[in-house]
Amino acid sequence: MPRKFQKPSAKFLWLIVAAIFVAVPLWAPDPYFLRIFALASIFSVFALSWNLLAGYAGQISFGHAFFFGGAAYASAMLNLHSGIPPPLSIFLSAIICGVAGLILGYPCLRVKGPYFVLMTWCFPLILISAVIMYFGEIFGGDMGLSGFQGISSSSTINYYGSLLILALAVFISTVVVNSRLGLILRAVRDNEIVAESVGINISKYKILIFGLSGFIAGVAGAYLAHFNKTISPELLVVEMSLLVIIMTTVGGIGSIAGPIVGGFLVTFLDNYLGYIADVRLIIYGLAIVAIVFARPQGLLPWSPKIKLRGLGK
Amino acid sequence: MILLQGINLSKHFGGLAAVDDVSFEINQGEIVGLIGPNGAGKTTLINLLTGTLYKDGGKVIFKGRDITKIKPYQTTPIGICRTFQMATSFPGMSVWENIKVATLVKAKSIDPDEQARQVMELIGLREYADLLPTQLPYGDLKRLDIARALATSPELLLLDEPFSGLAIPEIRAIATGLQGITNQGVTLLIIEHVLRELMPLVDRLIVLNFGQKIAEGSPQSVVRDEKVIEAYLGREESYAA
Amino acid sequence: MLLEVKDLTVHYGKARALDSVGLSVDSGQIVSVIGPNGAGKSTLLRTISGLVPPTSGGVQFKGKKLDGLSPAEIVKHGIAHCPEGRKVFPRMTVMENLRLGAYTRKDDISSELDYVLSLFPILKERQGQGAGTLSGGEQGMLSISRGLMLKPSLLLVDEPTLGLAPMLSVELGNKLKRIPEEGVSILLVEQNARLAFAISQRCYVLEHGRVIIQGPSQQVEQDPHVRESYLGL
Repeated sequence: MPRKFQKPSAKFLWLIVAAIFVAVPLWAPDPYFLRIFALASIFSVFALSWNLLAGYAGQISFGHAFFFGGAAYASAMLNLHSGIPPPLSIFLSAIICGVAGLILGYPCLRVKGPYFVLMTWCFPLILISAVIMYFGEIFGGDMGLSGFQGISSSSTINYYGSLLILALAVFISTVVVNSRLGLILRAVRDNEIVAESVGINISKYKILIFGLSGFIAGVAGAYLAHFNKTISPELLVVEMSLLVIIMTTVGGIGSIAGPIVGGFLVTFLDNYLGYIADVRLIIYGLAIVAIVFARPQGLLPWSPKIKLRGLGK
Repeated sequence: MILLQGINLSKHFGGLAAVDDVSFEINQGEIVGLIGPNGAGKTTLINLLTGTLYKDGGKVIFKGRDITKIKPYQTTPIGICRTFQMATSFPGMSVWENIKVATLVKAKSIDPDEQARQVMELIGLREYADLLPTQLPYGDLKRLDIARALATSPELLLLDEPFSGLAIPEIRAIATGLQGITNQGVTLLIIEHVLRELMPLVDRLIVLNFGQKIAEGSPQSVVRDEKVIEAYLGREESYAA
Repeated sequence: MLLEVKDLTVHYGKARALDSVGLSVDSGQIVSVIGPNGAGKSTLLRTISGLVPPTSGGVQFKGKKLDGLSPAEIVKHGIAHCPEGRKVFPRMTVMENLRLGAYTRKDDISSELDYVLSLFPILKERQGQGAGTLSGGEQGMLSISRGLMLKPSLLLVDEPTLGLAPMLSVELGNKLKRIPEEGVSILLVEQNARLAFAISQRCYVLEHGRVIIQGPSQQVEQDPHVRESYLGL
């Protein structure tokens, strides 16, 4: 009997990758490279958060920038106005996003597929209106905010901070996936009706994962704010929501390595091929179409094919 | 002991009565067949029992407790589990995982791994443990359905056409398996059309037609009931020459 | 022989629906296929009209093999299929449904139109109404009329009396009985065995994908195995 394709010695691979990542500042060619690497880590965390929702609960969110950008603003504001230092402000902002996820999850997850997509699409728009238009003076409007604290003056420490949150995101994802919770979530993703028939309260779990996903995206967004020491409504626009979808899809939905591969690929391409900035969304769009048709499980050779409901099949 | 009671259950779709004032009882340890022509309301009745559909009227009592307003995911923890007409599964999870996730509903009182292992042995799916459901032959997919339902430690199993799509030898294997399950103390309510294979299995039959219960009793008495014969073969009418 | 089905085996994915089924229909006949639910009766019709590909065996119509032909091509050969559940176009009028039935024809359809409207006067009465507003029985008549508009040599009718009250079933059965007078043969799939016996000349009993009884309808009607096939005992 054929066996399901097993990853080659996973732990070993992870260890090697971790070693490389930790050693980067030693062999990094220049500060710019280090910075891009850190950004890639941050966006990988963002991608992992989306992956948790899509790949394990089967919910395709088109508005994840809500948590990402929302946490960035929350953390910046907490620091600017309440003087709360970055590590704590990041943590608090992430918690706020997590709770927001739990609250928003309730209406969002009662609706099916395309309507869920629409609802998630709307939430960042609401936030953008608040930030730019209605409370522009408080939130800095179009220009955004700056003048709040950064993580550290050392680029090396900033880099290791990004690794830390990446490790956290990987840890949480691994625990979720390998636990009973992961089993239940995959059941919810695969077949809601049968999941109900074996006693799973699908609403409860979908809301839970929405909250967890929001928390992780919040960690990434808030960290980014202090990493760049400036934020703008750019963090809330639909392109940001699409970017994380692109990263995760290209790398491979449903695995843990996939979103990281996608996050790194897209971030490096984005920053080193700056001259294609204007057409990059077209390129990414085409990439998504190509991937969905040719290799829906993403670029990694051993990712399982997962059927996602929501937009058709 | 009466395990399940359906009292005056009704469900309308528009003007059509899909289930029309149906009452019945299932006793512990019984194998009861729920039969009737196409469209008689059998699956709708199961959907009413599990809370998948809202009831327009009537009550459901399980082990003395009124479960009329229950939601589908709440039926499993109290001991009721159902299967579906088409073979279903969690396609992205292995056979072992399919069964194990079903054991989790009773995780507080049993050891999930042990329960999953036992169910796999009982149904005979051990060799398929690491395979994905898509790699299984259809007959084994249907057995996986039953294994998954059994993994929830049910007292009452509601099976919707467990024989459909199978060849006779496979049907007989499943029927034997179901006998084995009752020996473990599980009560069965089975919807089926393949009556030739259902009859030797059941203690009692409930017959629906056009949403109403038209007959009930032992297989021998039910097949002689003129109303049942009419339901299946049509009424004696006079047609033009 | 108008239609000949030889050794037909059909699978839906991994599940076997028909097993070496053979039957024939002659010109001017009504042949019925009865049997318990799930026996494969609908599958049989759907295979003949090209909607489902056979695993093995074949169908011959007017001496020509229908292997590999698309449903549209099979329609052009003169086989019309009235599917299970009637399946009229609900948002179109009765008349539009009828005209659609003759879609592939380029000749004058007025005589067929007159025929079906006289066979089913209620359709003439409701010709401007939306088909979705018709009752179940009327939709059944519309479905059959739509098939007749093709001027087919063979009409495949799938459970026309499903869900109909007994009186309407009788009425529909009587109408069906008259259709061969116009040179159209019928292969009728029915769960209502007694109706099938009353209006068809020959009958096949299908159980679990296999033909277990066949012969002249009057003969099959007397066979106790028919009841056993439906009821299991």
